[in-house]
Amino acid sequence: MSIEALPTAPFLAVGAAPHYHCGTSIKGMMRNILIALAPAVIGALYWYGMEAARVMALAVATAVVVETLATKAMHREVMVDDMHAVVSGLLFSFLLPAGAPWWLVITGTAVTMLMGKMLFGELGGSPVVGPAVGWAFCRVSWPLFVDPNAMMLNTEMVNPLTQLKYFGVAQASQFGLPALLSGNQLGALGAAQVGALLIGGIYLVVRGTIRWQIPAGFVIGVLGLGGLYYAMDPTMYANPVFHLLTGSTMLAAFFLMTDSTSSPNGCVSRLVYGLVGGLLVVLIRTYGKYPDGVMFAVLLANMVSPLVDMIKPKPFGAR
Amino acid sequence: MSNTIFSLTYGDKGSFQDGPVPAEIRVPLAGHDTKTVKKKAEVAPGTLIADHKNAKTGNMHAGIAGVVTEVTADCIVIAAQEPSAEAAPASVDAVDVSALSGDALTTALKALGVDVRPLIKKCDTLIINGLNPEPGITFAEALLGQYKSTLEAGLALLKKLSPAGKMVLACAEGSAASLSGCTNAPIKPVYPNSLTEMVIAKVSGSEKSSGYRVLPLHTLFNLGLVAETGLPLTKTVVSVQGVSYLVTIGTPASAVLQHAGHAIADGDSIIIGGPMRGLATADLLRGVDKDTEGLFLIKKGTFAPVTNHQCISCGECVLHCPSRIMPNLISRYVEFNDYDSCVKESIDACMECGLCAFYCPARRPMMQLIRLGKHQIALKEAQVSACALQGEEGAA
Repeated sequence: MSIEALPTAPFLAVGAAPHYHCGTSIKGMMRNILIALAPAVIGALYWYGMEAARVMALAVATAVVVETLATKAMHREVMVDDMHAVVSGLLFSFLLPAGAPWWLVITGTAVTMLMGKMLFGELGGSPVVGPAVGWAFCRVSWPLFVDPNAMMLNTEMVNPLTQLKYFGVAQASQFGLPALLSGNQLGALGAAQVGALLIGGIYLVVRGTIRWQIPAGFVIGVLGLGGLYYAMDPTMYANPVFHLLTGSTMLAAFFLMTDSTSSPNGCVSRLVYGLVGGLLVVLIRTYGKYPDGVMFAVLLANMVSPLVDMIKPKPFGAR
Repeated sequence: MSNTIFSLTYGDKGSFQDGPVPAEIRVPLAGHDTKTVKKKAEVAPGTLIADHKNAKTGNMHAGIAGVVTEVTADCIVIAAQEPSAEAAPASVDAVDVSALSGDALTTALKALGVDVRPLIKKCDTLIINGLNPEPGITFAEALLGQYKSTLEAGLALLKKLSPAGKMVLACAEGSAASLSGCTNAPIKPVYPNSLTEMVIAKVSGSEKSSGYRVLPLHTLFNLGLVAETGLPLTKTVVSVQGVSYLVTIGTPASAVLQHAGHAIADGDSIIIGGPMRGLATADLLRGVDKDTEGLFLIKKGTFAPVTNHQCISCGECVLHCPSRIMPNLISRYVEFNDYDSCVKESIDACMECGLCAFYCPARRPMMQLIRLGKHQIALKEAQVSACALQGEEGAA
C-alpha cells in the first residue's frame, strides 16, 4: 500500500522517550579519539619515518579486516564503520617498535581484535582493553621483536627505561624534559610521542570524550608512588616525572585506561581505578622484570574495574 | 550545552495565543463508560458527552458546536457544524462553584470536567510546581504573571478541597511570582529539578520526606478556568514548540501544529507532552487531552534513531543520573530479564527523567528499558500477592 493511499499521510515516526538527544555517537567518540591521536601519528612519522607509517597502516588495515571477518563469521551486523577497529589498530601499532616485522603486526592486531573485542561480542563486552591484550600476547611470545632496543638498531636514540633498568639513575637523568616531551627517546613508535599524546589527551578531556578522573588518578598514582621512592633515595630511584614521560605512561593515562568498556563508571571509582593503574606502573618498573610495565599495569587495573565500580553513592531517597 | 538546553526559564512571553478553530475534534476518553451522546447527535460547546463512573474523575464535554460523527471506546469525534435552528441543543448554564463546598463542590467539579483526585489527596504540605515541567514547555512564567487571577481562583477552590495544612509555591530562583496563602520555595530552574521527586526534595530539604504532594501548575490553571467561568472545561493551555496556545480539548495534534505554522512531513515525530518524558504518537489526529502540556514536532533526521546496540559502559548515564543509580547496569539486567538484580540496584529510585538516554552515545532506549523493568516487577509482585491471597483463602 502506498503512503498516498492512506488517509492519514504523512506517516509519523515513533520512538521511545526521551525524544531529544545530546548528539554524541560512538562514531563521534572514535573520530575524536582519532583526532586526538593525530599529533602522535605526526610525531611517529617525524622520528621513525616510513617504517612507522608501514606499521600503523598495516595494523589499522588488519584490525578492520579482522573485525569484519569475525562479525561475518558470528552472523552479526557488521559495525566496522563505527571506527572502533581503526582506533584499536592504531593504538596497538603505537605500542610496537617502528621496526616490527609484518607478521608480528598482523598477529598482534588480530589478537587485539579477537581476544580484546570480538570474543566478547560487539563493542562493549570486553573486560580488558584490546591493544594491551595484543601487546601482552606479543611481548610474552616474541619478546625480542617487541623490544624497541632490539628492533631499532639503526637509530641513535636511546631508550630511557632500559638505561634506568640496567645502568641506574645517573644514566636516566641525562634525558632532559624537552627531549622526553618531543619524543626524542627510543620507544614504541607512538607511545614515545609523549608531548603529542598529552596534547591529544587534553583535547579529549576538553571535548568531553573522556573524563578527567582516570587520567588524573593515573598521573597522581605515578607521581605519588614515584615521588615516595624518589624521596626515600634519589640515587636509587628515578624522578617521578621521568616515569610519567617515558614508556607508554602517557598513552595509557589518556587512551588505554580510559577505554570505555573496561573502565568503571562512577566519579570516585574512576579516580581509584586510575590510581591503582598508576601505582602498578611504578611498582612493576621498580621491582618487575620488564623495563616498561605499563601495559601489564593497565591489564591488572582492568581486572580491578568491576570491584571499584562497587564504590557508588546511595540512590535517591536513601540518604 | 546541557545548561542551555535544560534551562526551564523562558521569561514571560505574554498572553497565550488562540488555538485553531477545529473542523473536527476527537475528545479522548480514559475509561469514560457512559457516553451521553449518540452518533449524529447535535452538541453545543459545553454539552456533556461522556460520564465516568468514578465520582472523582472529570466528565468530558464537547468543545465546539457540531454533530457527533463517531463514538468509540477511546474517543468521541465531533464535526463542527452551525447549530440548526429548530433542534439546537441548549447551551450550558454557568455554575457558581465558588459558593459550594464539601461534597457538593466535588460533585460540581466532576460534572464540569475537573479531575478531583489529585486535588483531594491526603498530605500535610501541598506544593504547587511553578516550574515549567520540561525543557521546551514555556507557559509557567505567563501563568504566574498574566494569568495569576485564574490561578488564584483555582487556588481558592483548592484550599477548600485539599486536606493540606500548608501550601508552597515552588518557583524559579529569582522569580517574583507569588500566590496568596502560599510560601515561596525557590528552586534552580534546571531540568530535572521540575520533577515531582526533585521538587519535594528541594522544598523539604530531604530526599526521604513524606506528607508532601506536588500539583502541576497546569492542573491548577484548568481548575482556575472552571472556577472563573463556571463552565465545563473545554480548553487548556498547550505549549506548541515553545509557544503557548489556548487549545480546545480534542483538537487533533496535527491541526494545532499546522495552526502554529509547522509543516508535518513523512518521518517526523509528534510528541505529546514534554520532549523528555512525552509520548510519540503515530496518530496525526490524536486529540489534545486535558493534561496535555506540550506538543512538539521533531523533524526527520534531527536526532539519530534509537538502536539496540550493546551498552559500551561509557558511564555518561551514571554521571548524569539525578537518582544516583546505574542505568547502564539496570538496562542490561532488564535486557536479560534479571529483575531481582534490578531491584537490588534500586530501579525504583528512578524518576524517569530521561537524562540517561539523552546522553547515551550508543543511543540505547535506556528509559524505555527501565520503564519495562518496573512494569515487569510490578506484574510479578501482583502475581505473588494474588497467590498469597489464594493461599489464605485455601487455609480459611
